[in-house]
Amino acid sequence: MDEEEKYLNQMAKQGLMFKKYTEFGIYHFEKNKPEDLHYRVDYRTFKNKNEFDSYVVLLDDAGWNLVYGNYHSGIQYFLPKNKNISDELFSDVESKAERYKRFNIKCMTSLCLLAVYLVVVIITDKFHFSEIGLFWKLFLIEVPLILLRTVPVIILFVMAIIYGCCAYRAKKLYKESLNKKQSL
Amino acid sequence: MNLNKFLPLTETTFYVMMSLLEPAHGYAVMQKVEELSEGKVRIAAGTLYGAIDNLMKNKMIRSVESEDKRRKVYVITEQGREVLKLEAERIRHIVKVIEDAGL
Repeated sequence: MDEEEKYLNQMAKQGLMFKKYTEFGIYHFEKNKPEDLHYRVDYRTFKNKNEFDSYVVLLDDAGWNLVYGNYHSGIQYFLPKNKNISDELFSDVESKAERYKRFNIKCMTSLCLLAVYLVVVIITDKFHFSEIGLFWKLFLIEVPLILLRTVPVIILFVMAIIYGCCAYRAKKLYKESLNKKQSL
Repeated sequence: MNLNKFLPLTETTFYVMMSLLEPAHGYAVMQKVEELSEGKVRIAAGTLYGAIDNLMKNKMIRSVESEDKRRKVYVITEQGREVLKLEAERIRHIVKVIEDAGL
């Protein structure tokens, strides 16, 4: 969220222009001359491509260039057309808080999907073992296979934890920003 | 439906609804809000998109046909007008309470 924006800005200062984001937290950069940029991130899901287009056109009219994002990416990156401007995408507390909430939902959805996947893998794994009564005989053949199955599981497990942490932090930020408003 | 549940309106929501008494597209709403508030309220693009999305869901505004295929045009609904009237009543009462207190 805010850290993500900061991270992209810092990379731009080093001459690495953010180009694309793919799942599993991989950022694609392009080497260029260092610049002071102000990236902004939004987390929106759209019913269809039309909705997404009208969103991009509205932001474009308001002076924002879409750097990366499409109607099913769930995440959108923008840069102001006037590079010297460090405007925000959100102008009131409610909408800023809403963004944290959307991020939280995004993380929770990923977390649930991962959980379902893990359960499925574990269940099929158990079946696998019981079918092969002669487990030790097949040990040598099985070991690489098991590794092949468990390595992704471990990676996914770690990702599940990361998603969980992100979701928790987003929720905290959401509550904090709403509290800030109440104390005014 | 009890329209009172939508009150009080946030400043953003209020100005967006007021801007849509006449049909307009998103960016025109941003300009209109600035004009109506005499430059005091400037709605950022992300906030405006969210506000429009919420107002559409609650049927306060609706989208209308337009020649511009890329930009969606919106206008206030009858229900939206009713909510604005209720809001005016609410604010009128607040102003009266303040004035009665001699402030």
